[in-house]
Amino acid sequence: MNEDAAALDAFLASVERRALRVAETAVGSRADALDIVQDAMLSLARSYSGRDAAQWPALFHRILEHRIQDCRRARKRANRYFVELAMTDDEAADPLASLAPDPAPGPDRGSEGGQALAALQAALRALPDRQREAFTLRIWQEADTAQAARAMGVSEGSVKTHLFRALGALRAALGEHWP
Amino acid sequence: MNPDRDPLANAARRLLQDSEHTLDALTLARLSAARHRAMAQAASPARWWQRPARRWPALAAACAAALLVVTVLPRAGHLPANADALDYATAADAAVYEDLEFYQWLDQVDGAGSPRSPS
Repeated sequence: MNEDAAALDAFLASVERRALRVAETAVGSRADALDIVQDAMLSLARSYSGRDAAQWPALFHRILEHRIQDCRRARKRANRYFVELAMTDDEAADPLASLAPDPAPGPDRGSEGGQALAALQAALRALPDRQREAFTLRIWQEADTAQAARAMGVSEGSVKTHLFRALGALRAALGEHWP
Repeated sequence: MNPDRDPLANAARRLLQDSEHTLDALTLARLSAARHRAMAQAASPARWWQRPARRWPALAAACAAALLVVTVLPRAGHLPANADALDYATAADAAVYEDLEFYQWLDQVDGAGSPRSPS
């Protein structure tokens, strides 16, 4: 492996865990999240490995977010289709049931912290894409407003607005169990 | 409101960042395998459909040029469907002009009633 490839491999290794958690939170499935992260890593390695390494974080974020939004849109289309089918059969359908967290057991489930994380992930998943993205960049990844605006391709004011709304929605969804 | 001092934001940040370090071994192995696959595929030469999009316009232009050669140019070498009629008309007109002097003489002869040879 040459020096550039080694640098890219090190970069991907440094972001892969967070990318998986970001994708898993957004789509609610670890299997889908793994596919999304692999696809994003492949796209970055294939198309942008020659770019300046300083650009990789923003590029990887954009690719990952596009994949996440594609997956969420596909889910919504599928959910709408199945809900319509269920309605024609006069069956009670709960459209939110498909948004339930991945039932696969893990070390972070079952404990109090695991329940808090699951509640937070479900609340984040229910946010509109822009609000979720603003929260992910500003709060989770600790980017400043200017960095988040560049990554999202919007103005700094827009980032602040999306974040304000996201925090309000999370506070309403999580209730008194959260500060 | 400064989100950096928002209690909910701080609690959520801690929880989400901690969650990155609680992934199980199987998931970590899958992540590592996915990264190695991505690096390996990126190192291999791209197939023609995986090549950068900037090459597609050139390919489209080449296809359009080939289509032009196949469909339009052969017709340019052919005359229109009524080409034979035009040829016939042109040849007939030339014959009339060549014999114009004869027809003028014939007209004079008919008019005078006495035959004369044309000069």
